[in-house]
Amino acid sequence: MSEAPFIQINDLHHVYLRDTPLEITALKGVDMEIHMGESVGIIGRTGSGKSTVVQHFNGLIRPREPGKVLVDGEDMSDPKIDIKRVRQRVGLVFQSPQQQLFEKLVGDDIAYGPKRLGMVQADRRERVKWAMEMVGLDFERFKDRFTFSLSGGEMRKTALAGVLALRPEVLILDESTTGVDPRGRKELMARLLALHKEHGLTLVFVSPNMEEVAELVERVYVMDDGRVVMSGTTREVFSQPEELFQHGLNVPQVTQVAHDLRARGIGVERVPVTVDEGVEEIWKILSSCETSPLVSTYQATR
Amino acid sequence: MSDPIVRMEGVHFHYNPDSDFPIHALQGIDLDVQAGDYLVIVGHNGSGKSTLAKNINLLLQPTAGDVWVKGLNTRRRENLLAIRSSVGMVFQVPDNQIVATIVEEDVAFGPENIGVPRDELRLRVDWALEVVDMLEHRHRPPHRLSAGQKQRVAIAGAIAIKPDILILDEATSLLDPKGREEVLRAVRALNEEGMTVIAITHFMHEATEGNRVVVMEEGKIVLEASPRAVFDHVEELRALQLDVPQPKELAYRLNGRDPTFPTDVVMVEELVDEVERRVKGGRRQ
Amino acid sequence: MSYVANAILLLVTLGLVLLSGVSLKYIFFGLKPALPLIIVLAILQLLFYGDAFTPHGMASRTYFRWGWIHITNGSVQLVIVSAARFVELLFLTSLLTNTTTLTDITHGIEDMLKPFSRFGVPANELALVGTISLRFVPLLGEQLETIMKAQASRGANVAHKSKLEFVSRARQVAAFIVPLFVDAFRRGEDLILAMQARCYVGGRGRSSFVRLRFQRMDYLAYGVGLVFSVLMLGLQSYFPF
Repeated sequence: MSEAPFIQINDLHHVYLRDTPLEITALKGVDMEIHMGESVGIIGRTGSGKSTVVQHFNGLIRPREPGKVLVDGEDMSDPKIDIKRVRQRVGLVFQSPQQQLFEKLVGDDIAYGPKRLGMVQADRRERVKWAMEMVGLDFERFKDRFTFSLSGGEMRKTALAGVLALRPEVLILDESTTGVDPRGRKELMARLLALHKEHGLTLVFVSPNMEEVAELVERVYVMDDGRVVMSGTTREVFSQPEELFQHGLNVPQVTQVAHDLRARGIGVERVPVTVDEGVEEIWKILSSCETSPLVSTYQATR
Repeated sequence: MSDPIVRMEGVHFHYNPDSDFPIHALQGIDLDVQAGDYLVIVGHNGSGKSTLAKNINLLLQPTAGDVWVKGLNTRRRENLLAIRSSVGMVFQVPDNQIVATIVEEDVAFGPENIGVPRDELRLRVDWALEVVDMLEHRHRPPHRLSAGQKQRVAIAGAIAIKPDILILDEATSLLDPKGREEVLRAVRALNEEGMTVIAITHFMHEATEGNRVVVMEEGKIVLEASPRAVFDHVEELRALQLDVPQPKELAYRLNGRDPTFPTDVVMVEELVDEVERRVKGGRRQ
Repeated sequence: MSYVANAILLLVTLGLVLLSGVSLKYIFFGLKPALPLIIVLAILQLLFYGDAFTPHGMASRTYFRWGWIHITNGSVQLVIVSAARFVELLFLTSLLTNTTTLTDITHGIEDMLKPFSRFGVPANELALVGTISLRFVPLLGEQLETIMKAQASRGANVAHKSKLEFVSRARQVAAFIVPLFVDAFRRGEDLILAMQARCYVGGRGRSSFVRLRFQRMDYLAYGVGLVFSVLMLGLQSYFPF
């Protein structure tokens, strides 16, 4: 990570309703960086300031002195910046994306962004087709469907496609899995992972759900009360469960298992963050006892 | 066993029955809920679980079949208030169910509707806020509360009518882990005091909160068991794309490698105990 | 319509503000958004009300005449007095909202309307509508902000090259308004269910948790207000200028 980060923020402060009796300090000096090709999680309880931070990433909120936000080297406090281009490069999906749908037909709604960017009809069509494919909506079957006759899950996909159609380099998801049922969540996670792994999309995933974060991202920032309180690789951060508890968060159960085993004097080499890793780690422990003949038979048959 | 507090027999429900696209949301539901039960209904969006709940307190009426609440049939219009005042309901979106601009005035809304006299109103409101641990916030405007706190106010508002049954319709799905725990703690306390709870959720791990679990899919009950037993159906749950608690998943997969590894594990502690027993037991040999 | 009466009113209003302990800064703050309206109103009155009004017991005098524009002593007085009234009204409104919560005002209105419920005035329902608006209008405001941000993230709201593209402008507005309405309806439906689940079947037979009691200070305030109004009416006939 020697190259300059794509998004860099320094000493960012933000106050909502400044100079009124209702003023709320949301950010109290935040530093973060997002590099190209990464997947980064921003976790924290409600009201910790995570949404406020990511709204700085695409210029919905502009930084104030002394804070600085650089997107690909461009200073976001400069009013002359091409904000449309920044928003095209950094896509932001809100919590209930259904709220952005307004066109009568699904295809038109997804085409809204490309149209605003001034793309011609034929290119727009290609974009819409690609975006629909990425979220798992069949182009021919869905492009002429009425937006408001879709199911909740289809609406969510349409909204995500509407942002993907901008072909962003960075995709930010602000609590986009909140309120989604497990079936929808599994599909969404798989699609995001594919976009990240196969299409090199940089992901910023904002969530209070640790299981999801563990599955999707490589690096996390933990926020509490307007500050970044922990940061590092997912494994590093999850290795400090007590500190996470203090910030109103928990660790995935599989990670908890490893911590509890360690507390009982049973060494776990590497703290697992997903079930796959958990199976391997526990299996290592069990097979090292060499008590069960079945363990050796299993190993022999592999 | 005494008469069930809620009984459903052959319940069907259609949305838009006369339109070109009727939706057959409930397809023959038979379900008994005993007084004091904590029933968890799990299913995906569109599985019919919310429709089922709304058929209990007469927000909807079955298109076929019957529902009895405390022996009263929901078909009879004159039972409306008696049934609704026996069933409290908390919905998914915290903001959309709080009516008043001050916490305690909102909690009073239900009892006001059934004409509870003023002196008793005060007692009920304080009691309800106490149960959900929100008494100290009683004079605050709801919009200054966290989502978990708002949802607890909604619970207080539902129990202030002194219902026998509390229904939670995905009441935790929009909360963060801390808010969810706050709400579940309040519900647990109510159930321990004898309140019948029906919790609708798509979080499989909330199944362990209850004493009975019902899994719904496409308007039908596809699984019914105790919380421990329901997770023994790992394959079925997977086919339904429902989550299995991670300790269960771990145990199940370890069992695939070593059939002597037990699969009747649900909680983190049980798994840790089992691994410890094997490791330490092994060393002693 | 008189200078003297308005001067007294202004003084009394300011006196009330000082008594209430609300900072003058907030009171003047409330004036700011209405200032353009007051100015436009004054200009229109000055231009068009030339001969429409003559101060009581005075001869009409014309200060300025150019084509159809007449500026008379009558129109000048009208401008000054209406601006002063406007300012007094706004001061009193800010004073009310700065000392009394909207919730309390709603309860007050409900209590005041209650005697009329026997004539079919739905006092309880009106108050409930008021309360629900107070609760949901800010929520819809927040919602609109989120929608605007979501659409801005998709490239909306960027100044257009040609300002004359009405169709495309209307589309821009639709991008905000349609989702806002969808959201408002959804909230409305949710709220109806929640209210029904909590046994709401209309205003009849409801008890009420909040009780506003008339206390000595309230009677005093009503009395002073009444006496003051009568005095002002009397004053008007003594000091018509």
